[in-house]
Amino acid sequence: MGNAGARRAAAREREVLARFPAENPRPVLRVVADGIVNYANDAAMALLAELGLEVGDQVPRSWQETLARSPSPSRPCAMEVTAGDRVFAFTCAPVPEFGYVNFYGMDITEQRAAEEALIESEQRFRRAVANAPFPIMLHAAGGEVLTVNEVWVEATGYAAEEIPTVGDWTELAYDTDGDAVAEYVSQLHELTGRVDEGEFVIRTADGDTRIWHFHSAPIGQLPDGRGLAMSIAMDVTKRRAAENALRESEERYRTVFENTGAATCLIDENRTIVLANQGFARLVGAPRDEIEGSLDFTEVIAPHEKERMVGYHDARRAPGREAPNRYEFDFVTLDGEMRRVFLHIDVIPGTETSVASLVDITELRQAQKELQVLTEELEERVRDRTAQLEAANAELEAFAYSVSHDLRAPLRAIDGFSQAVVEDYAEDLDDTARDYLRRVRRASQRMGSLIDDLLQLSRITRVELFRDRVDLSAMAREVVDELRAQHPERVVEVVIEPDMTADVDRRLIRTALSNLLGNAWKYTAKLSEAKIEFGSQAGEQGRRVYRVIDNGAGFDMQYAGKLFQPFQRLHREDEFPGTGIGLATVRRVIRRHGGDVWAEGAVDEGATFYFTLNEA
Amino acid sequence: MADGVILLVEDNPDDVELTMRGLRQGQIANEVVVARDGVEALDYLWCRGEWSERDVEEAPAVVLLDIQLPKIDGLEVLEQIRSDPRTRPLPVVMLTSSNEERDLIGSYDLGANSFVRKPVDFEQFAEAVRQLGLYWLVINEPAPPGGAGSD
Repeated sequence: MGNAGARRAAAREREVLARFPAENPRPVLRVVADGIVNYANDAAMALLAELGLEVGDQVPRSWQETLARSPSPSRPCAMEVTAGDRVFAFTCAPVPEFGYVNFYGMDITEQRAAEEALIESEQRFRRAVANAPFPIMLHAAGGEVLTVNEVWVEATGYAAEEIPTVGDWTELAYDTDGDAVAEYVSQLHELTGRVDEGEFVIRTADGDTRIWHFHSAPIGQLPDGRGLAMSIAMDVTKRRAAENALRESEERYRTVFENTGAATCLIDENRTIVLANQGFARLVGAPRDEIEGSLDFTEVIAPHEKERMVGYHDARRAPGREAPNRYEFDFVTLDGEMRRVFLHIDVIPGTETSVASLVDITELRQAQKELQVLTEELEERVRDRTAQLEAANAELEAFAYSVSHDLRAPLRAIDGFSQAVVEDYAEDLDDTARDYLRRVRRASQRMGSLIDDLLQLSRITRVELFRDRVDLSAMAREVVDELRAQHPERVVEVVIEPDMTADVDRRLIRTALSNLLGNAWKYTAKLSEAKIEFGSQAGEQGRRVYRVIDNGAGFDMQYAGKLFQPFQRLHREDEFPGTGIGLATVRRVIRRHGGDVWAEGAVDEGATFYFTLNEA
Repeated sequence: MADGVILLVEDNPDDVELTMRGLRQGQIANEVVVARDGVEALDYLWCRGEWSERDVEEAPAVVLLDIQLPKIDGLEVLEQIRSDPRTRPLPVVMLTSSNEERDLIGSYDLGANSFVRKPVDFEQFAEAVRQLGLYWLVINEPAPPGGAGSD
């Protein structure tokens, strides 16, 4: 109903009531010239009494001012009168032909109270919007922004004047989804209930971005009939950041969980597997969704292990009890295949759930077993070989012993009786016979030397090595002294580097030095200015290289490889006597010390023998 | 020169002959008793079997003992000699072809007085025998009968 209609209806009512003022429950009174009240109905009488007036009195000044605005019947004027605790609205209707003015009153006490309450309510609403701790926008259908509150302005940096319409707002604050927002906002005014618009990224005036979660609701109509809507935003930037961080963290843990390299699962207090990674699913032999939440862990434990592991499960969750965290057990896949598994399990602090990592070590154990078998076989073979070697050694020793006795005794007889013949039957023998017997003796003695040298060679291999700090220089001097004593006729210049010491077997090294110096002595025998030198030089890897140098007969390097072979000789017996065993003996001694020996030389230009010693 | 008996324990007749020859050439005229194995040697020393009539108090001046012997070898004979108070003081010279260290050490461990290796060269051998005789029969003062070691 329009205002014009309402006014017409009120005028008609006044007309009707004007005819029967006495029956009118609303106050009606008539004022004549000079503002004198000359009629009042019952309701008006009560009102006047409240004001301390009665019929015949002059109306209060404010009434007269209203009258003075010279109303006309076509333009009645209005005023309000407060009487006691009641408020009345009066319409003054002049009746010029009778010279008075009719006052028609209406008790508007309740109406006024309601109006005041409404005003109060609106003010509260405005305050609420203005002071709300979150951004609020009131906007009309068509896009006009009626209000943005303080928080909105502060948070965005856009003053209310910059965003007269929703379109201006979306243009400023949205990058790409502005159009969608505008459409949404326009639809909003056709809705009846609250709408959750969702989240949008807002760009503030200084270029920051914020995430706002919008709720909007139509909240009635404006006096001009346009729909009114309120949009409330919640700044969820921090919450989203926290949620993102949490999600990323969860993703990280999930990734870790998936990629532990072990079959990993979570087991709750009822032994149900609540979470499993792909590795665990593979080990069990079932897809994850058939495991998680339904598989009992004991279903994948071999029967003979169940009691023990259920015991652990309970102990781990019982106060004051403990269970091992790392152990092996027999795992059974859902297909019934037995696997050997290494388990690492722990209750997650503050929960009843344990996290278990399983590593399938079946192949490892198998390999270890095979290795064990191989090792045992190898050890067995080593024992066999050692026994064989020991037997061979014992045999060799027995042989050497026997050679030493049994081969020499006949030689002694050959030599001894040959000599006896020469001594006892000298007159019966001619020169040839004596020569033959001499040859017999020389041959048997040479064979005796060969046997002795061979035995020495074999002894070097057989005896145990006792290392000791040995002064090689002093030892060499002793050897040379002995040589000089045996061959006092020789003139040999011997130079020995002082203070050469080494950790070696004294007796073996003595044999080697005797042979090397003895060779040098022997092969310089034909020189008038023989010279022998024993010294050392720095070699590779900090090793000392010892050398025995002579200026004697030397040898052809072509045959250098044969030097150290037993019975190999580079000189004829009648030139330089020898058995061909000395250098073979030297090489064995040096090799037993972990060293090496080699020689350089040229015919008639002397020889140099080098050797190293692995001095532990 | 002591006139005691030389007990030669040697199974090889060639070596017996060569030793005798060496002694002769060394001008050593003492009686030589030859035992062909370890048992015979102990029979002589302890006056058993073939030698039961012998007076145990008449100990030989020296025993020349080969190591490699049939039945009981030289080292064992030496051990038995040293284990019996009657024979413990006897000078015993190990006379052997061996130059094996274990024989040398074993002999001295068991109480041999000397260890002589028989060389192949007879002249050297004869010289060794001569020096042995000189030392044990001329220079060395033997223990009195029933004296030291007869406890």
